[in-house]
Amino acid sequence: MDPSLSEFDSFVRTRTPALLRSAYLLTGDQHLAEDLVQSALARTHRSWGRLHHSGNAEAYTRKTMYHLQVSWWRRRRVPESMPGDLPEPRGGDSGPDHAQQTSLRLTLRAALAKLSPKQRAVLVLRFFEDRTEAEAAELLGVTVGTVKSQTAKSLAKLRAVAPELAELYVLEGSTR
Amino acid sequence: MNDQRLRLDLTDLAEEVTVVDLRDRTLRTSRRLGVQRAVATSAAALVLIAAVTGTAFAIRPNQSPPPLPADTPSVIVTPTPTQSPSPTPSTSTSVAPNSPSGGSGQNTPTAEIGKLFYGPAEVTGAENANLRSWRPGDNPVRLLALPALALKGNVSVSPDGRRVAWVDSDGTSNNLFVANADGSDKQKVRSDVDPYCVTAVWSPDGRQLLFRETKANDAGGPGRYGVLDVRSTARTVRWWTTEPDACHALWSADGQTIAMNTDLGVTLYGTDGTTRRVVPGFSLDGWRSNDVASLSPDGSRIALLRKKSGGDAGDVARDLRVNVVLNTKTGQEIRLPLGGRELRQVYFQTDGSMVVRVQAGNGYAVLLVGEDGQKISETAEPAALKDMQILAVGA
Repeated sequence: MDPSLSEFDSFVRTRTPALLRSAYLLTGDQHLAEDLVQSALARTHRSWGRLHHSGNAEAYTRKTMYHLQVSWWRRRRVPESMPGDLPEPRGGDSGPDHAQQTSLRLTLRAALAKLSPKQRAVLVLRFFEDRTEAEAAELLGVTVGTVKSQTAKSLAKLRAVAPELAELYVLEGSTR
Repeated sequence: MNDQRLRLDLTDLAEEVTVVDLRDRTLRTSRRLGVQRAVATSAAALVLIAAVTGTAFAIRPNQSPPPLPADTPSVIVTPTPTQSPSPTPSTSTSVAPNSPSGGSGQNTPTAEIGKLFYGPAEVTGAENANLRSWRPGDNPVRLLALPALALKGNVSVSPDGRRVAWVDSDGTSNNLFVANADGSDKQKVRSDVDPYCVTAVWSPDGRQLLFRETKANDAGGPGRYGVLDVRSTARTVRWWTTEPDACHALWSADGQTIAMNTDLGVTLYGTDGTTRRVVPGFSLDGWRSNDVASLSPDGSRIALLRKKSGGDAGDVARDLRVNVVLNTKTGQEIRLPLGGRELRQVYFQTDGSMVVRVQAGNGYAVLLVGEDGQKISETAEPAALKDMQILAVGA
């Protein structure tokens, strides 16, 4: 086998799980997450020789993935698949913990669906991937100021569409 | 609680995804991208892949509406017109000016700049602003007042300069209006019209408007293109049978060609929505364009804002700045006689000549450039237009 292909295989297989998790939060759908990761990886493959030698393959793949997700043409092309209806808020705390956690997850999932792709991307970068504002800005190709403002808007929108989440999270965002 | 809880819950949610092996699918996609790269249409490649593999985008049911562009109004209405676009002055890579075969031929000595229409370059927070016109040699004229967002984002002036079309929201629908340039005879002609992406554009005879209809309150969602006969009593619409993924339509003065931004660059369409050709010269890793400003009378040249890849491509609002004029068949840059100054805007006139706006000191100057690429005249703009942008050139 072509050594570079073997190296690319190894890259795909070791990084796919992490990429898929991020893509799932960005799209809210298993199949769209697969499509997104596959599209980003394919672009990485097109430039594998250069990326492999520079050691930037994963950064390039993630950057491509985020750009694909928020780019205007794809936003128009890909129907959002996240279910947009919020589940009924749970009353009291009578249920078992895991049921409460499941309800919370559904609420969060539906609330994320109410955000724009860029707002979702900022949240995922800042609070799931734990990126700094500067790193998020670099990945999205925007300014740090845009990341700050989009983070604030995202959290405000989460608070607006799912007040029960606002009770759980401190939704001012953090600055690093 | 603190935002650590949000981190934990996102992690918990992300664990829902099922990990699959994407190796083979990735390589298939890569091969198809390689084929498609030859025509610099990566988005088309994705659609093709979708059609072939049955796994991707277009065929998935629309389980919930796409996010509205209006979700991020600050992004949409505040492009950065005061920032200079990456300048692409005439360089050694430019080709010599050419004379498109389908144009009107030699410039006549009587070529002159038509009436220029202006609106604020930036949205300042004022609810309304006035459209203005100016013809070199005259004083600027204040015309009808329009919602500031419409004046910035979607207003279209008819080629004869007499009628104006714009989209404004009443809170429940984005409505398409037409009026005379002085504000008289205002009429609402359609509801649920795309206000940002496919903004309404006049046909050369000023009788029709190309627009995109959307679902109510879903300006960025699925829709259909229509050509509205605004002079007919019944306001008849000829609907396209295609719905290109495109923004910012321009209609050539010969009536034959519609140019729109698609995926990475520009595609030319017939007036029935059929695809004519993709303008070459755009690619995922090279030049891109999300904003076109003016199309030559025969569709052979286009003035647009061209950027290198890697920037933020998430804004669908129009940007009328121009940093290059391209041959739509070859993708090659057409040299302009800028005299070392920064190019800001370009509009084609019906005789094939160009009105070229350049930075001149603290203000601007407008050059009249013939179809052959030679400068015919130059006029300094009045200082009163310093904070405005040209929206159209009328007869």
